[in-house]
Amino acid sequence: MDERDMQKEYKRVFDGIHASGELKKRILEQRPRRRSIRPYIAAAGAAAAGLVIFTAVYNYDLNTDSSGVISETAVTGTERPAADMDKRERTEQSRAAEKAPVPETGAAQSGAGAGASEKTPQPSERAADSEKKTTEDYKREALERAGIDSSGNRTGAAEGRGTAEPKDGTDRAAEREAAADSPAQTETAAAAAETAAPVSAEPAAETAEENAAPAEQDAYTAGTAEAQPEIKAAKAAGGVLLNMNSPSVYRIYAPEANMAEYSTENGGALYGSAGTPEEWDNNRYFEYIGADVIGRVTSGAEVRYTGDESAYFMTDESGKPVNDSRIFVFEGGNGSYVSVITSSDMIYAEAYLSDPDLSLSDVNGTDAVVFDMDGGAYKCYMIFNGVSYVIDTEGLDDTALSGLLLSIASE
Amino acid sequence: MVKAVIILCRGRQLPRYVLEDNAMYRFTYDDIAVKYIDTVYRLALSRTKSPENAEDVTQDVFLRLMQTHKEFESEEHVKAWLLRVTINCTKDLFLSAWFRKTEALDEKIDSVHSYENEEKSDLYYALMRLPQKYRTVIHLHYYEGYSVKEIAAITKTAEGTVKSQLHRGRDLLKNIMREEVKDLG
Repeated sequence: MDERDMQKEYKRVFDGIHASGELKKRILEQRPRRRSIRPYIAAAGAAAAGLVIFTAVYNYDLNTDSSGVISETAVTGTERPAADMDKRERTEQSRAAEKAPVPETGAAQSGAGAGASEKTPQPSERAADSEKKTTEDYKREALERAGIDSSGNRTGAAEGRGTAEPKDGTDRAAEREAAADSPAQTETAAAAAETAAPVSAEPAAETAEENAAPAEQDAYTAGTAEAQPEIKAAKAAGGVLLNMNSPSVYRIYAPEANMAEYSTENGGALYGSAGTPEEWDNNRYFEYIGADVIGRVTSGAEVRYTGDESAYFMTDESGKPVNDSRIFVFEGGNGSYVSVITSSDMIYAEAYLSDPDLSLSDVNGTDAVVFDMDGGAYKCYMIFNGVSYVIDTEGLDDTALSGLLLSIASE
Repeated sequence: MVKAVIILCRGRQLPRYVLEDNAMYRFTYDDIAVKYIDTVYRLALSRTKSPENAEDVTQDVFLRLMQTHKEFESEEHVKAWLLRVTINCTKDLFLSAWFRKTEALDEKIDSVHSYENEEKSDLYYALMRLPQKYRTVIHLHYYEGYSVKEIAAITKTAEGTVKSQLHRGRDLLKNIMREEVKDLG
């Protein structure tokens, strides 16, 4: 069998092999295989559960006094079997308890009230209790102390306590320091125990206080980021308010709902579509679309046009392009790059602009969706005067981007 | 200077644009999928020898196509990218613990395929007896019609390596087929 025969034979054999209809259907519908998505579902579930628990604990901490859930967490830390506890740690705690009797007043107990002070067990008692009580017991106790019933609702007692002196960030951070169940924490907690009641650990160590402000700042920042993951930053500059959307949102973004009705049939396709090919220079296109894109972009940003001077369109009987999308590319100094895709078909930008989950920017009164793609790149979607704009930039800062958008969206 | 393809949106029905010869072509995910499913599947099959694994790999490849931010310069570029990703996906499969555990028990090469000409399957069986590295280059060369240079680019190996693999693979294939004929005789 010579080379040519082999090739012929090979082609004939493999021409007879096709992917199954089921596979084709699956790929066209993009149904993920069950086998592959299971771990993701499990991971998502675990993450959600973790988030719920974290949020619950964190919220209790913010709104309750020293006998709240965080204190419970501290107690939970001691529920390890006595045998597992480090001997030195226990000795230190006992020593700390001997040195520091429960204070009658003070910041540590002010929020908790006298009742809580009375209830606060000594370390030796706690060590004994920890062997008997389970985490659930401690949790229930802590919730009761915080005035929160098992369903998570705040009881009357808690509401009454809500008027009590709120805890400051230092206290909360100190509590978190004291509550953390780690060797490092044990040191801190032991230090705190020398000056305060062991359970609440309220006064906390000096070192904990020093670290409290940044720690809390981080916690709040993290909380905010979790609450609004899509919005990276809001930046205002001369008539433009940029609300950046995260690139992660862009990557997962699949506006199929918006685009379900859209297909090459109604959108028009140059590739394989019927019509007459016509070459249009830029001016003709600008007249047709009603905007001098090159002029606007070059006046708005320090870039020069490096794209084509004309483009081919398939036109219908009335002489209009079946698909009137065009791309204009610009380059500037320091590797900056701008591409603008224009079309009178709103669907390109509308798909993003109409999504309520995306944060809108304001460009001189015109809505825009801007993605900060990291690495100095932005993606913008905007409709102005009946033209859909899809703008990609690289190497432009926020101010330059604002100028560019403003220039496009100006009369 | 033109950045060739602009992927405007995500989603299977959304258009992808290719600028080629100053004209703008539009592809949808469906266009590409329909056109290249068999291409990807055949390469996957020639590498994995198992229709089930080939199906898994094919689906992975098109999932990656849907998720990619890659800018393609032409339709040929899309095809080459798909073949490259197919090779990567099969590599991933071979490295997976699941594959390593099950493949030892599953060394079947006589899986049922939808042949149009059963009599022509001798070559197929002979091909499946070749080591994988030879199967890939032979498939890309004889079926997809790629040159040594193009195969080197797709498989990310040196041209000399591809050339020798092609040469050895071809010889091996011929030997195997010759042996089979002898056995039958």
